[in-house]
Amino acid sequence: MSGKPRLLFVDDEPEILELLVLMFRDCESQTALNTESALEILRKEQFDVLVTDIKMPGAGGLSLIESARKMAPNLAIVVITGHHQEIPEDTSAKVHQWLLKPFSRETIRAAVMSAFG
Amino acid sequence: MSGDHLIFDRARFQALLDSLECMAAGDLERQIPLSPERDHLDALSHGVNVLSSELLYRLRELQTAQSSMIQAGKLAALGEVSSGLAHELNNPLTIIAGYLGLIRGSIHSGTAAGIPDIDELESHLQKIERNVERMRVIIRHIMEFARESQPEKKPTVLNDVIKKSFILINEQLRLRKIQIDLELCPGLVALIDESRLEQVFINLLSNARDAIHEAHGQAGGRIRVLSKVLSSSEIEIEINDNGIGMTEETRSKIFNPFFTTKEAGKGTGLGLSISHGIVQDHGGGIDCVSEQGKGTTFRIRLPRYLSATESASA
Repeated sequence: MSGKPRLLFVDDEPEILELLVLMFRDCESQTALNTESALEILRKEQFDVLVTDIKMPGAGGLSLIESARKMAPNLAIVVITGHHQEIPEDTSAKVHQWLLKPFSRETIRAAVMSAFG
Repeated sequence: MSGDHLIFDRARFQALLDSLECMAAGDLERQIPLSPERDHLDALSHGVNVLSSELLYRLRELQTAQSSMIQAGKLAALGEVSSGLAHELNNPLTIIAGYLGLIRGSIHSGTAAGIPDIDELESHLQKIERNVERMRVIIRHIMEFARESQPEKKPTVLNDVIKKSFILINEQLRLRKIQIDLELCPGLVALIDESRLEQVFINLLSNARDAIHEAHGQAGGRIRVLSKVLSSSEIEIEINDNGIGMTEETRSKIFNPFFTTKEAGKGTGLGLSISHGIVQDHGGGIDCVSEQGKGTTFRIRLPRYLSATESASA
């Protein structure tokens, strides 16, 4: 296992996932287009940081955060979202940082790297 | 005056009757000419002229109020789809901002190494261009839709208006896993105000979205839109959902102004009543059948527009 941060990106927009992977070329990245696929990956592999959108078809990001927290208590979570109001109080405590879309490369890199610690 | 005999010129009297008939048919701009005599017939004609001017003034006031209400309804319909639009615009903006950051990074690192990777830069630029175009389509359509304009009916391909309605609401339907089935009969043309008909479709699609979400939550559902020829002079658009459906009592009130089943602050209760007015203004009709737990179908009938050649051969 290398010392590179292991990241899981979850967004229903393939182009955003492709962009995130390019922004984190120096990390080991995996992607998922929805909550169900993300949970499938999380069951098999370990990650340092989960970066997820909230509004997605089917079970959204909030449900993913709840499940991921139970499966991997040490997993740091960064949320990328279009709305301030999307994160309820009780969930915000479980999230390292949330970023509003659109975000710059520098902002998301700083958030993910600080979550990696 | 009892015992007086009023003797009128037959031709002038007939002209007065003709004018009254025209006014009754809706020509309120018509004024009955008065004669130099200023007799009883002129007094009567003058009274009718004042009455028709007053009616015309009130009618214009009513039209202005109706136009304002339709515009308010249009903005409310836009509000109904706004969260989806924000999402739809934020994603391309995120991609644009992200690739600009990557390009800047490439330029700096490429310059340091002496060789910027031109192919990669070109690929990033193409992604930016594609997403700028994606945003342009949405923004232009929002502006077209929200623009306050005088009603302007033109022969329009109906299926194009149906497809355009989805530009504004598509993202919300996608996020709620609502599948769209379009069964559109090609070549249907109606004399319509495109923007107002789109307002009707968005109202109906927003209601279908909510009804499906209420019935099935994250599991999503299905909206079927069908257009067809009813007769040589009439076409029909059907919007059917497999949502929660309505009781007969609710169904009987849905076109009433301010009637809503949504919680306070979530709906104006004007969407369907405005839609009803718009369809009637196009010489058509709208009705609804619904079954609780099964779904709802709205049917809109509109007069079919036939070109001069089609009319001749019909």
